[in-house]
Amino acid sequence: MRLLIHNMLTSVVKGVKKGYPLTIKATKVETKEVEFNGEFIARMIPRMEWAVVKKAAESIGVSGLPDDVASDYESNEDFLKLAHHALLEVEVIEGALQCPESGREFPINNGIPNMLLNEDEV
Amino acid sequence: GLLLENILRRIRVCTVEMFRCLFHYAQQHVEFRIPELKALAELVGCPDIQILQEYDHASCNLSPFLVVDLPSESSARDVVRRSVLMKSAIDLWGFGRDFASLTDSLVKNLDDRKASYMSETVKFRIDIETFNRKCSQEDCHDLIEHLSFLPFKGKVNLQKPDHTFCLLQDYGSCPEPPAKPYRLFFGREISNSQRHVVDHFSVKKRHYIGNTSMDTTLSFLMANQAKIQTGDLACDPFAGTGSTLIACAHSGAYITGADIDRKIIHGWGKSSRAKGPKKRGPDDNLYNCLQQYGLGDKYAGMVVADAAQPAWVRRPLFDAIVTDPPYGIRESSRKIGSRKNEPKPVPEEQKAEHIPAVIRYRLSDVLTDLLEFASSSLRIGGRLVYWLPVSRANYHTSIIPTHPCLRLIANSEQIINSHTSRRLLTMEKTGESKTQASVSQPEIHDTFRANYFKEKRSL
Repeated sequence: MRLLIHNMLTSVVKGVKKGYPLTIKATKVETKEVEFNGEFIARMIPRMEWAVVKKAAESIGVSGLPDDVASDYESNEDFLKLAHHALLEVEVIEGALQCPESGREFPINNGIPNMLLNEDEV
Repeated sequence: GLLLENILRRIRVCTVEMFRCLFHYAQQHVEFRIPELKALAELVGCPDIQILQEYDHASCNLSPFLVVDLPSESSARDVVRRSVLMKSAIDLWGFGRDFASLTDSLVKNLDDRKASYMSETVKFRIDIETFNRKCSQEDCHDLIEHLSFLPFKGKVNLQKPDHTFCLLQDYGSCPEPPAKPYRLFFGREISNSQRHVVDHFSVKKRHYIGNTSMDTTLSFLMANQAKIQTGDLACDPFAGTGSTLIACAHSGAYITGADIDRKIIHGWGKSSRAKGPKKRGPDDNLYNCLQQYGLGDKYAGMVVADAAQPAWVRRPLFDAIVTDPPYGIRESSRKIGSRKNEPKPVPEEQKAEHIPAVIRYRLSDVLTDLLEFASSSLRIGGRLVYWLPVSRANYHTSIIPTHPCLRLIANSEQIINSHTSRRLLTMEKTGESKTQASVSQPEIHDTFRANYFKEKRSL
Protein backbone atom coordinates (compact mmCIF):
# COMPACT_ATOMS: atom_id res chain seq x y z
CA MET A 1 0.00 0.00 0.00
CA ARG A 2 1.38 3.34 -1.07
CA LEU A 3 0.58 6.55 0.76
CA LEU A 4 -1.44 7.85 -2.20
CA ILE A 5 -3.92 5.07 -1.50
CA HIS A 6 -3.62 5.36 2.29
CA ASN A 7 -4.78 8.96 1.95
CA MET A 8 -7.96 7.77 0.25
CA LEU A 9 -8.98 4.90 2.54
CA THR A 10 -11.29 5.13 5.51
CA SER A 11 -12.82 2.77 8.04
CA VAL A 12 -16.54 2.18 7.63
CA VAL A 13 -17.13 -0.09 10.65
CA LYS A 14 -20.78 0.22 11.76
CA GLY A 15 -21.26 3.06 14.22
CA VAL A 16 -17.90 4.75 13.53
CA LYS A 17 -18.33 8.46 12.84
CA LYS A 18 -14.83 9.37 11.75
CA GLY A 19 -12.76 6.45 10.54
CA TYR A 20 -10.15 8.73 8.97
CA PRO A 21 -7.20 8.83 8.79
CA LEU A 22 -6.19 5.24 9.40
CA THR A 23 -3.13 4.69 11.57
CA ILE A 24 -0.40 2.72 9.84
CA LYS A 25 1.20 -0.12 11.80
CA ALA A 26 3.89 -1.32 9.46
CA THR A 27 6.08 -4.39 9.96
CA LYS A 28 7.66 -4.35 6.51
CA VAL A 29 8.19 -1.31 4.29
CA GLU A 30 9.88 -1.30 0.89
CA THR A 31 11.01 1.47 -1.41
CA LYS A 32 11.16 1.08 -5.15
CA GLU A 33 11.81 3.54 -7.89
CA VAL A 34 8.79 4.77 -9.85
CA GLU A 35 9.14 7.07 -12.85
CA PHE A 36 8.49 10.69 -11.85
CA ASN A 37 5.46 12.33 -13.44
CA GLY A 38 5.18 15.87 -12.05
CA GLU A 39 1.92 16.57 -13.83
CA PHE A 40 0.22 13.59 -12.18
CA ILE A 41 1.50 14.49 -8.71
CA ALA A 42 0.40 18.11 -9.19
CA ARG A 43 -3.08 16.90 -10.09
CA MET A 44 -3.21 14.64 -7.03
CA ILE A 45 -2.11 17.25 -4.47
CA PRO A 46 -5.52 19.00 -4.23
CA ARG A 47 -7.15 15.59 -3.74
CA MET A 48 -4.90 14.71 -0.79
CA GLU A 49 -5.02 15.71 2.86
CA TRP A 50 -1.44 16.86 3.14
CA ALA A 51 -1.25 16.73 6.94
CA VAL A 52 -2.26 13.06 6.68
CA VAL A 53 0.43 12.41 4.04
CA LYS A 54 3.10 13.97 6.23
CA LYS A 55 2.10 12.16 9.40
CA ALA A 56 1.74 8.81 7.62
CA ALA A 57 5.13 9.26 5.95
CA GLU A 58 6.80 9.99 9.28
CA SER A 59 5.17 6.92 10.82
CA ILE A 60 6.95 4.71 8.27
CA GLY A 61 10.28 6.50 8.44
CA VAL A 62 9.98 8.96 5.54
CA SER A 63 11.03 12.38 6.77
CA GLY A 64 11.68 15.72 5.13
CA LEU A 65 8.19 16.57 3.91
CA PRO A 66 7.20 20.22 4.47
CA ASP A 67 4.32 20.97 6.88
CA ASP A 68 2.24 22.54 4.14
CA VAL A 69 1.78 22.14 0.43
CA ALA A 70 4.04 24.63 -1.37
CA SER A 71 1.96 27.54 -2.67
CA ASP A 72 3.55 27.15 -6.10
CA TYR A 73 3.31 23.36 -5.96
CA GLU A 74 2.29 22.93 -9.58
CA SER A 75 5.63 24.26 -10.81
CA ASN A 76 7.79 23.49 -7.76
CA GLU A 77 9.71 20.43 -8.91
CA ASP A 78 11.55 19.98 -5.59
CA PHE A 79 8.26 19.79 -3.76
CA LEU A 80 6.67 17.52 -6.38
CA LYS A 81 9.63 15.13 -6.21
CA LEU A 82 9.36 14.88 -2.43
CA ALA A 83 5.64 14.27 -2.76
CA HIS A 84 6.20 11.72 -5.54
CA HIS A 85 8.60 9.75 -3.37
CA ALA A 86 6.25 9.74 -0.38
CA LEU A 87 3.08 8.99 -2.36
CA LEU A 88 4.27 6.38 -4.87
CA GLU A 89 7.71 4.99 -4.05
CA VAL A 90 7.33 3.90 -0.46
CA GLU A 91 5.13 0.88 0.06
CA VAL A 92 3.86 -0.82 3.20
CA ILE A 93 4.19 -4.52 2.37
CA GLU A 94 3.12 -6.08 5.68
CA GLY A 95 1.30 -4.59 8.64
CA ALA A 96 -2.11 -3.18 9.39
CA LEU A 97 -4.28 -0.10 9.20
CA GLN A 98 -6.06 0.85 12.40
CA CYS A 99 -9.41 2.62 12.63
CA PRO A 100 -8.82 5.75 14.78
CA GLU A 101 -12.22 5.46 16.48
CA SER A 102 -12.96 1.76 16.99
CA GLY A 103 -9.40 0.41 17.04
CA ARG A 104 -10.37 -2.23 14.45
CA GLU A 105 -7.33 -3.37 12.50
CA PHE A 106 -7.31 -4.04 8.77
CA PRO A 107 -4.42 -6.29 7.78
CA ILE A 108 -2.00 -5.46 4.96
CA ASN A 109 -0.54 -8.53 3.23
CA ASN A 110 1.80 -8.48 0.29
CA GLY A 111 1.16 -4.74 -0.12
CA ILE A 112 -2.62 -5.07 -0.30
CA PRO A 113 -4.85 -3.82 2.52
CA ASN A 114 -7.89 -5.92 3.34
CA MET A 115 -10.69 -3.49 4.19
CA LEU A 116 -13.41 -6.16 4.43
CA LEU A 117 -15.60 -5.88 7.48
CA ASN A 118 -17.03 -8.85 9.29
CA GLU A 119 -20.71 -9.65 9.04
CA ASP A 120 -21.45 -8.09 12.44
CA GLU A 121 -19.69 -4.82 11.50
CA VAL A 122 -21.78 -3.79 8.47
CA GLY B 1 -26.71 45.08 -35.65
CA LEU B 2 -28.36 41.68 -35.92
CA LEU B 3 -27.93 41.69 -39.71
CA LEU B 4 -24.24 42.51 -39.43
CA GLU B 5 -23.84 39.77 -36.86
CA ASN B 6 -25.46 37.28 -39.20
CA ILE B 7 -23.21 38.28 -42.05
CA LEU B 8 -20.14 38.05 -39.85
CA ARG B 9 -21.21 34.64 -38.64
CA ARG B 10 -21.64 33.46 -42.22
CA ILE B 11 -18.20 34.75 -43.16
CA ARG B 12 -16.70 32.99 -40.17
CA VAL B 13 -18.37 29.71 -41.13
CA CYS B 14 -16.90 30.06 -44.60
CA THR B 15 -13.40 30.88 -43.47
CA VAL B 16 -13.03 28.10 -40.89
CA GLU B 17 -11.40 25.46 -42.98
CA MET B 18 -12.24 21.96 -41.92
CA PHE B 19 -10.33 18.81 -42.64
CA ARG B 20 -12.51 16.28 -44.44
CA CYS B 21 -11.65 12.86 -43.17
CA LEU B 22 -12.91 9.38 -43.88
CA PHE B 23 -12.78 6.97 -40.97
CA HIS B 24 -12.55 3.37 -42.06
CA TYR B 25 -14.13 1.12 -39.41
CA ALA B 26 -13.75 -2.54 -38.59
CA GLN B 27 -17.06 -4.39 -38.77
CA GLN B 28 -17.36 -4.97 -35.05
CA HIS B 29 -19.31 -3.23 -32.26
CA VAL B 30 -21.04 -0.98 -34.79
CA GLU B 31 -23.33 0.67 -32.24
CA PHE B 32 -20.36 2.01 -30.28
CA ARG B 33 -18.87 3.96 -33.18
CA ILE B 34 -20.47 7.36 -32.76
CA PRO B 35 -20.12 7.43 -28.95
CA GLU B 36 -16.43 6.52 -29.28
CA LEU B 37 -15.89 9.15 -31.99
CA LYS B 38 -17.54 11.85 -29.88
CA ALA B 39 -15.57 10.91 -26.77
CA LEU B 40 -12.28 10.89 -28.68
CA ALA B 41 -13.02 14.19 -30.41
CA GLU B 42 -13.57 15.77 -26.98
CA LEU B 43 -10.50 14.03 -25.61
CA VAL B 44 -8.22 15.50 -28.30
CA GLY B 45 -9.76 18.95 -27.81
CA CYS B 46 -11.96 19.30 -30.90
CA PRO B 47 -15.54 18.63 -29.81
CA ASP B 48 -16.93 20.49 -32.85
CA ILE B 49 -16.79 17.75 -35.42
CA GLN B 50 -19.38 17.25 -38.09
CA ILE B 51 -20.54 13.86 -39.31
CA LEU B 52 -21.54 14.26 -42.93
CA GLN B 53 -24.72 12.41 -43.79
CA GLU B 54 -24.66 13.17 -47.51
CA TYR B 55 -21.91 10.60 -47.96
CA ASP B 56 -24.23 7.90 -46.71
CA HIS B 57 -26.44 5.58 -48.66
CA ALA B 58 -29.78 4.22 -47.48
CA SER B 59 -28.66 0.63 -47.90
CA CYS B 60 -25.35 1.22 -46.14
CA ASN B 61 -26.38 1.35 -42.50
CA LEU B 62 -23.59 -1.08 -41.71
CA SER B 63 -21.09 0.68 -43.90
CA PRO B 64 -17.54 0.73 -42.56
CA PHE B 65 -17.02 4.28 -43.89
CA LEU B 66 -17.84 7.48 -42.05
CA VAL B 67 -17.02 10.94 -43.40
CA VAL B 68 -16.33 13.57 -40.79
CA ASP B 69 -15.17 17.19 -40.83
CA LEU B 70 -12.59 17.93 -38.16
CA PRO B 71 -10.64 21.11 -37.43
CA SER B 72 -7.32 19.74 -38.72
CA GLU B 73 -5.38 16.74 -39.96
CA SER B 74 -3.60 16.49 -36.62
CA SER B 75 -6.92 16.26 -34.75
CA ALA B 76 -8.05 13.47 -37.11
CA ARG B 77 -4.76 11.68 -36.51
CA ASP B 78 -5.10 12.04 -32.72
CA VAL B 79 -8.62 10.60 -32.87
CA VAL B 80 -7.76 7.58 -35.01
CA ARG B 81 -4.66 6.73 -32.99
CA ARG B 82 -6.79 6.28 -29.87
CA SER B 83 -9.63 4.44 -31.56
CA VAL B 84 -10.12 0.69 -31.20
CA LEU B 85 -13.13 0.50 -33.52
CA MET B 86 -11.56 2.22 -36.54
CA LYS B 87 -8.94 0.72 -38.79
CA SER B 88 -7.55 3.91 -40.31
CA ALA B 89 -8.22 7.52 -41.21
CA ILE B 90 -8.01 8.91 -44.72
CA ASP B 91 -7.61 12.46 -45.95
CA LEU B 92 -10.61 12.43 -48.31
CA TRP B 93 -9.78 13.80 -51.76
CA GLY B 94 -12.76 12.67 -53.76
CA PHE B 95 -16.14 11.01 -53.57
CA GLY B 96 -18.62 9.74 -56.15
CA ARG B 97 -21.63 7.53 -56.73
CA ASP B 98 -19.79 6.09 -59.73
CA PHE B 99 -16.31 6.26 -61.19
CA ALA B 100 -17.13 9.26 -63.43
CA SER B 101 -18.40 11.38 -60.54
CA LEU B 102 -15.43 10.33 -58.40
CA THR B 103 -13.14 11.52 -61.21
CA ASP B 104 -14.99 14.84 -61.43
CA SER B 105 -14.79 15.35 -57.71
CA LEU B 106 -11.05 14.54 -57.65
CA VAL B 107 -10.28 16.91 -60.51
CA LYS B 108 -12.42 19.70 -59.06
CA ASN B 109 -10.88 19.48 -55.59
CA LEU B 110 -7.25 19.21 -56.64
CA ASP B 111 -5.23 22.00 -55.06
CA ASP B 112 -1.63 22.89 -54.14
CA ARG B 113 -1.77 21.05 -50.85
CA LYS B 114 -2.79 17.83 -52.57
CA ALA B 115 -0.33 18.37 -55.42
CA SER B 116 2.50 18.47 -52.88
CA TYR B 117 1.76 14.81 -52.07
CA MET B 118 2.19 13.93 -55.74
CA SER B 119 5.53 15.66 -56.35
CA GLU B 120 8.60 13.96 -57.82
CA THR B 121 10.24 13.27 -54.48
CA VAL B 122 7.26 11.42 -52.95
CA LYS B 123 7.30 7.62 -53.12
CA PHE B 124 3.76 6.27 -53.08
CA ARG B 125 1.48 3.30 -53.44
CA ILE B 126 -2.22 2.96 -54.17
CA ASP B 127 -4.36 0.38 -52.39
CA ILE B 128 -7.78 -0.74 -53.48
CA GLU B 129 -10.25 -1.86 -50.85
CA THR B 130 -13.59 -3.29 -51.77
CA PHE B 131 -16.31 -3.71 -49.20
CA ASN B 132 -18.87 -6.53 -49.58
CA ARG B 133 -17.42 -7.91 -52.81
CA LYS B 134 -14.15 -9.31 -54.09
CA CYS B 135 -12.13 -7.31 -56.56
CA SER B 136 -10.10 -9.50 -58.92
CA GLN B 137 -6.47 -8.60 -59.54
CA GLU B 138 -7.39 -7.68 -63.09
CA ASP B 139 -10.18 -5.32 -61.97
CA CYS B 140 -7.88 -3.72 -59.43
CA HIS B 141 -5.27 -3.20 -62.12
CA ASP B 142 -7.86 -1.57 -64.38
CA LEU B 143 -9.00 0.74 -61.61
CA ILE B 144 -5.44 1.92 -60.99
CA GLU B 145 -5.06 2.53 -64.73
CA HIS B 146 -8.24 4.64 -64.58
CA LEU B 147 -6.67 6.75 -61.86
CA SER B 148 -3.73 7.67 -64.06
CA PHE B 149 -5.30 11.09 -64.73
CA LEU B 150 -4.04 12.04 -61.28
CA PRO B 151 -0.75 13.93 -61.68
CA PHE B 152 1.49 11.59 -59.68
CA LYS B 153 5.08 12.50 -60.49
CA GLY B 154 6.93 10.38 -57.94
CA LYS B 155 7.89 6.69 -58.01
CA VAL B 156 5.72 3.80 -56.92
CA ASN B 157 7.16 2.04 -53.89
CA LEU B 158 5.07 -0.79 -52.47
CA GLN B 159 7.42 -1.63 -49.57
CA LYS B 160 8.27 1.75 -48.12
CA PRO B 161 6.01 4.44 -49.54
CA ASP B 162 6.09 7.96 -48.11
CA HIS B 163 2.33 8.03 -48.62
CA THR B 164 -0.33 5.42 -49.23
CA PHE B 165 -3.42 6.32 -51.22
CA CYS B 166 -6.66 4.35 -51.16
CA LEU B 167 -9.48 3.78 -53.51
CA LEU B 168 -12.43 2.47 -51.49
CA GLN B 169 -15.37 0.81 -53.17
CA ASP B 170 -18.53 0.31 -51.15
CA TYR B 171 -21.01 -2.33 -52.32
CA GLY B 172 -23.34 -1.76 -49.37
CA SER B 173 -24.25 -4.33 -46.78
CA CYS B 174 -26.90 -6.46 -48.49
CA PRO B 175 -26.08 -10.16 -48.83
CA GLU B 176 -26.51 -9.79 -52.62
CA PRO B 177 -24.21 -6.93 -53.62
CA PRO B 178 -25.09 -4.87 -56.70
CA ALA B 179 -23.06 -5.02 -59.94
CA LYS B 180 -21.54 -1.60 -59.36
CA PRO B 181 -20.52 0.04 -56.08
CA TYR B 182 -22.91 2.42 -54.35
CA ARG B 183 -20.11 4.85 -53.74
CA LEU B 184 -16.39 5.35 -54.19
CA PHE B 185 -13.85 7.25 -52.15
CA PHE B 186 -10.29 8.24 -52.86
CA GLY B 187 -7.81 9.71 -50.43
CA ARG B 188 -4.50 9.61 -48.62
CA GLU B 189 -4.05 7.45 -45.54
CA ILE B 190 -3.05 9.56 -42.54
CA SER B 191 -2.80 7.05 -39.74
CA ASN B 192 -3.83 3.69 -38.43
CA SER B 193 -5.82 3.10 -35.27
CA GLN B 194 -4.56 1.22 -32.21
CA ARG B 195 -6.32 -2.04 -33.05
CA HIS B 196 -2.94 -3.77 -33.39
CA VAL B 197 -2.03 -2.56 -29.90
CA VAL B 198 -5.21 -4.12 -28.58
CA ASP B 199 -4.13 -7.44 -30.02
CA HIS B 200 -0.89 -7.14 -28.07
CA PHE B 201 -3.02 -6.98 -24.88
CA SER B 202 -5.13 -9.99 -25.86
CA VAL B 203 -6.49 -11.92 -22.89
CA LYS B 204 -5.20 -15.08 -24.57
CA LYS B 205 -1.63 -13.90 -24.19
CA ARG B 206 -2.10 -12.61 -20.66
CA HIS B 207 -0.77 -14.58 -17.76
CA TYR B 208 -3.08 -13.29 -15.05
CA ILE B 209 -6.74 -13.73 -16.00
CA GLY B 210 -10.00 -14.76 -14.37
CA ASN B 211 -13.24 -16.35 -15.51
CA THR B 212 -14.72 -12.99 -16.41
CA SER B 213 -11.74 -11.14 -17.85
CA MET B 214 -13.20 -8.65 -20.29
CA ASP B 215 -12.75 -8.75 -24.03
CA THR B 216 -9.74 -6.57 -24.82
CA THR B 217 -11.37 -4.36 -27.46
CA LEU B 218 -14.23 -3.56 -25.11
CA SER B 219 -11.90 -2.71 -22.22
CA PHE B 220 -10.05 -0.25 -24.43
CA LEU B 221 -13.36 1.12 -25.69
CA MET B 222 -14.35 1.75 -22.07
CA ALA B 223 -11.12 3.69 -21.49
CA ASN B 224 -11.95 5.78 -24.57
CA GLN B 225 -15.51 6.41 -23.37
CA ALA B 226 -14.02 7.51 -20.05
CA LYS B 227 -11.76 9.95 -21.92
CA ILE B 228 -8.73 8.57 -20.10
CA GLN B 229 -5.65 10.68 -20.63
CA THR B 230 -2.09 10.90 -19.38
CA GLY B 231 -1.90 11.62 -15.67
CA ASP B 232 -5.46 10.58 -14.80
CA LEU B 233 -6.28 8.40 -11.83
CA ALA B 234 -8.78 5.65 -12.73
CA CYS B 235 -10.58 3.29 -10.37
CA ASP B 236 -12.45 0.01 -10.81
CA PRO B 237 -14.41 -0.94 -7.66
CA PHE B 238 -15.19 -4.41 -9.14
CA ALA B 239 -11.72 -4.93 -10.55
CA GLY B 240 -11.46 -8.73 -10.76
CA THR B 241 -8.26 -9.40 -12.68
CA GLY B 242 -8.19 -5.78 -13.83
CA SER B 243 -8.87 -5.93 -17.59
CA THR B 244 -10.42 -2.46 -17.54
CA LEU B 245 -7.55 -1.09 -15.47
CA ILE B 246 -4.94 -2.46 -17.88
CA ALA B 247 -6.69 -0.60 -20.70
CA CYS B 248 -6.80 2.59 -18.59
CA ALA B 249 -3.09 2.27 -17.73
CA HIS B 250 -2.19 1.82 -21.39
CA SER B 251 -4.20 4.97 -22.15
CA GLY B 252 -2.11 6.93 -19.66
CA ALA B 253 -3.91 6.64 -16.31
CA TYR B 254 -2.57 5.59 -12.94
CA ILE B 255 -4.83 2.88 -11.65
CA THR B 256 -6.38 1.66 -8.44
CA GLY B 257 -9.33 -0.51 -7.56
CA ALA B 258 -10.84 -3.13 -5.35
CA ASP B 259 -12.52 -6.48 -5.33
CA ILE B 260 -14.35 -8.36 -2.58
CA ASP B 261 -12.52 -11.55 -3.58
CA ARG B 262 -9.16 -11.71 -1.80
CA LYS B 263 -8.07 -14.65 -3.91
CA ILE B 264 -8.42 -12.77 -7.17
CA ILE B 265 -6.62 -9.64 -5.94
CA HIS B 266 -3.72 -11.63 -4.48
CA GLY B 267 -3.66 -14.25 -7.22
CA TRP B 268 -4.33 -17.16 -4.88
CA GLY B 269 -6.22 -20.34 -5.67
CA LYS B 270 -7.18 -22.01 -8.89
CA SER B 271 -6.05 -20.75 -12.26
CA SER B 272 -8.64 -19.86 -14.91
CA ARG B 273 -6.39 -21.24 -17.64
CA ALA B 274 -7.48 -24.44 -19.36
CA LYS B 275 -3.82 -25.36 -19.87
CA GLY B 276 -0.75 -24.78 -17.76
CA PRO B 277 -0.48 -24.69 -13.98
CA LYS B 278 -3.70 -25.47 -12.11
CA LYS B 279 -2.92 -23.02 -9.31
CA ARG B 280 -2.14 -19.36 -9.55
CA GLY B 281 1.45 -18.52 -8.74
CA PRO B 282 2.98 -15.69 -6.68
CA ASP B 283 3.25 -13.50 -9.81
CA ASP B 284 -0.44 -13.74 -10.67
CA ASN B 285 -1.49 -10.26 -9.72
CA LEU B 286 -2.29 -7.00 -11.43
CA TYR B 287 1.05 -5.40 -10.63
CA ASN B 288 2.98 -8.14 -12.39
CA CYS B 289 0.54 -8.12 -15.26
CA LEU B 290 1.14 -4.39 -15.74
CA GLN B 291 4.89 -5.00 -15.50
CA GLN B 292 4.53 -7.53 -18.31
CA TYR B 293 3.30 -4.65 -20.49
CA GLY B 294 5.84 -2.11 -19.24
CA LEU B 295 3.11 -0.29 -17.30
CA GLY B 296 4.22 -1.17 -13.77
CA ASP B 297 4.77 2.50 -12.87
CA LYS B 298 1.04 3.13 -13.43
CA TYR B 299 0.08 0.88 -10.51
CA ALA B 300 -1.12 3.00 -7.59
CA GLY B 301 -2.41 0.03 -5.61
CA MET B 302 -5.23 -2.44 -5.16
CA VAL B 303 -7.45 -3.00 -2.15
CA VAL B 304 -9.61 -5.89 -0.96
CA ALA B 305 -12.96 -4.22 -0.27
CA ASP B 306 -16.70 -4.63 -0.60
CA ALA B 307 -18.34 -2.20 -3.04
CA ALA B 308 -21.39 -2.17 -0.75
CA GLN B 309 -19.19 -0.59 1.97
CA PRO B 310 -16.70 1.44 -0.06
CA ALA B 311 -13.44 1.93 1.81
CA TRP B 312 -12.70 5.12 -0.13
CA VAL B 313 -13.10 8.42 1.69
CA ARG B 314 -15.98 10.45 0.27
CA ARG B 315 -14.30 13.26 -1.64
CA PRO B 316 -13.35 13.76 -5.30
CA LEU B 317 -10.44 11.36 -5.92
CA PHE B 318 -10.75 9.94 -9.42
CA ASP B 319 -10.86 11.16 -13.00
CA ALA B 320 -12.67 8.04 -14.09
CA ILE B 321 -14.48 5.00 -12.72
CA VAL B 322 -14.47 2.24 -15.30
CA THR B 323 -16.07 -1.04 -14.32
CA ASP B 324 -18.01 -4.16 -15.18
CA PRO B 325 -20.11 -4.79 -12.07
CA PRO B 326 -20.97 -8.39 -11.21
CA TYR B 327 -24.43 -9.34 -12.28
CA GLY B 328 -24.42 -12.92 -11.36
CA ILE B 329 -24.17 -14.86 -14.59
CA ARG B 330 -20.60 -16.07 -14.57
CA GLU B 331 -19.59 -14.76 -11.15
CA SER B 332 -22.10 -14.54 -8.34
CA SER B 333 -22.64 -11.10 -6.86
CA ARG B 334 -22.06 -11.05 -3.14
CA LYS B 335 -21.60 -8.52 -0.41
CA ILE B 336 -20.62 -8.86 3.23
CA GLY B 337 -23.59 -9.57 5.45
CA SER B 338 -25.52 -12.18 7.36
CA ARG B 339 -29.01 -13.55 7.09
CA LYS B 340 -29.22 -13.47 10.88
CA ASN B 341 -30.80 -10.41 12.48
CA GLU B 342 -28.00 -9.91 14.99
CA PRO B 343 -24.86 -11.62 13.74
CA LYS B 344 -22.48 -12.52 16.54
CA PRO B 345 -19.17 -10.70 16.75
CA VAL B 346 -16.20 -12.78 15.66
CA PRO B 347 -14.20 -14.00 18.69
CA GLU B 348 -10.88 -12.23 19.08
CA GLU B 349 -8.75 -15.35 18.59
CA GLN B 350 -10.49 -16.15 15.27
CA LYS B 351 -10.35 -12.64 13.82
CA ALA B 352 -7.14 -13.08 11.87
CA GLU B 353 -8.41 -16.15 10.03
CA HIS B 354 -12.08 -15.23 9.78
CA ILE B 355 -13.64 -15.03 6.35
CA PRO B 356 -16.74 -12.85 6.58
CA ALA B 357 -20.14 -14.27 5.63
CA VAL B 358 -21.66 -13.02 2.41
CA ILE B 359 -25.21 -12.53 1.22
CA ARG B 360 -26.74 -11.86 -2.17
CA TYR B 361 -25.98 -8.40 -3.57
CA ARG B 362 -29.06 -7.41 -5.56
CA LEU B 363 -28.36 -5.79 -8.91
CA SER B 364 -30.48 -2.73 -8.05
CA ASP B 365 -28.29 -2.26 -4.95
CA VAL B 366 -25.09 -2.78 -6.96
CA LEU B 367 -26.25 0.02 -9.25
CA THR B 368 -27.34 2.38 -6.45
CA ASP B 369 -24.03 1.89 -4.65
CA LEU B 370 -22.02 2.37 -7.85
CA LEU B 371 -23.74 5.65 -8.72
CA GLU B 372 -23.40 6.89 -5.13
CA PHE B 373 -19.71 6.01 -5.22
CA ALA B 374 -19.23 7.78 -8.57
CA SER B 375 -21.10 10.87 -7.45
CA SER B 376 -18.88 11.32 -4.40
CA SER B 377 -15.54 10.05 -5.72
CA LEU B 378 -15.31 11.54 -9.20
CA ARG B 379 -13.96 14.99 -9.86
CA ILE B 380 -16.37 17.29 -11.67
CA GLY B 381 -16.14 16.42 -15.38
CA GLY B 382 -14.92 12.91 -14.51
CA ARG B 383 -16.65 9.94 -16.07
CA LEU B 384 -18.31 6.74 -14.94
CA VAL B 385 -18.33 4.01 -17.61
CA TYR B 386 -20.04 0.72 -16.79
CA TRP B 387 -22.04 -2.19 -18.19
CA LEU B 388 -25.70 -2.74 -17.41
CA PRO B 389 -27.15 -6.17 -18.24
CA VAL B 390 -30.76 -6.18 -19.43
CA SER B 391 -33.42 -8.57 -20.62
CA ARG B 392 -34.14 -7.14 -24.04
CA ALA B 393 -37.90 -7.59 -23.64
CA ASN B 394 -37.87 -5.56 -20.41
CA TYR B 395 -35.59 -2.80 -21.62
CA HIS B 396 -36.73 0.76 -21.73
CA THR B 397 -34.65 3.93 -21.23
CA SER B 398 -36.60 4.54 -18.01
CA ILE B 399 -34.75 1.67 -16.28
CA ILE B 400 -31.36 3.38 -16.69
CA PRO B 401 -30.30 4.35 -13.14
CA THR B 402 -30.04 8.07 -12.60
CA HIS B 403 -28.29 10.44 -10.24
CA PRO B 404 -28.82 14.22 -10.06
CA CYS B 405 -25.14 14.98 -10.54
CA LEU B 406 -24.38 12.38 -13.21
CA ARG B 407 -25.38 13.18 -16.78
CA LEU B 408 -25.90 10.34 -19.23
CA ILE B 409 -23.54 10.81 -22.20
CA ALA B 410 -23.88 7.56 -24.12
CA ASN B 411 -25.85 4.31 -23.99
CA SER B 412 -24.97 1.59 -26.50
CA GLU B 413 -26.19 -1.95 -26.71
CA GLN B 414 -24.13 -5.09 -27.13
CA ILE B 415 -26.41 -7.99 -27.95
CA ILE B 416 -25.49 -11.21 -26.11
CA ASN B 417 -28.31 -13.44 -27.37
CA SER B 418 -31.91 -13.09 -28.50
CA HIS B 419 -33.07 -12.38 -24.93
CA THR B 420 -30.18 -10.62 -23.35
CA SER B 421 -27.94 -7.68 -23.99
CA ARG B 422 -25.72 -5.42 -22.01
CA ARG B 423 -25.54 -1.69 -22.37
CA LEU B 424 -22.39 0.35 -22.03
CA LEU B 425 -23.33 3.48 -20.10
CA THR B 426 -21.18 6.59 -19.98
CA MET B 427 -22.01 9.25 -17.40
CA GLU B 428 -20.27 12.50 -16.55
CA LYS B 429 -20.23 14.21 -13.18
CA THR B 430 -21.67 17.71 -13.51
CA GLY B 431 -21.68 18.93 -9.92
CA GLU B 432 -21.80 18.00 -6.25
CA SER B 433 -25.06 16.75 -4.81
CA LYS B 434 -26.22 15.12 -1.61
CA THR B 435 -29.29 13.62 -3.28
CA GLN B 436 -29.27 9.86 -3.61
CA ALA B 437 -29.06 7.79 -6.74
CA SER B 438 -32.34 6.42 -7.90
CA VAL B 439 -33.00 3.13 -9.57
CA SER B 440 -36.51 3.06 -10.93
CA GLN B 441 -38.24 -0.29 -11.30
CA PRO B 442 -35.60 -2.13 -9.24
CA GLU B 443 -37.46 -5.44 -9.75
CA ILE B 444 -36.50 -5.38 -13.44
CA HIS B 445 -32.82 -5.39 -12.46
CA ASP B 446 -33.27 -7.78 -9.57
CA THR B 447 -35.02 -10.41 -11.66
CA PHE B 448 -32.46 -10.17 -14.45
CA ARG B 449 -30.50 -13.23 -13.36
CA ALA B 450 -33.57 -15.43 -12.81
CA ASN B 451 -34.97 -14.38 -16.21
CA TYR B 452 -31.64 -14.97 -17.87
CA PHE B 453 -31.49 -18.60 -16.77
CA LYS B 454 -35.21 -19.17 -17.40
CA GLU B 455 -34.91 -17.87 -20.96
CA LYS B 456 -31.70 -19.77 -21.51
CA ARG B 457 -33.43 -23.04 -20.61
CA SER B 458 -36.24 -22.29 -23.04
CA LEU B 459 -33.84 -21.60 -25.92
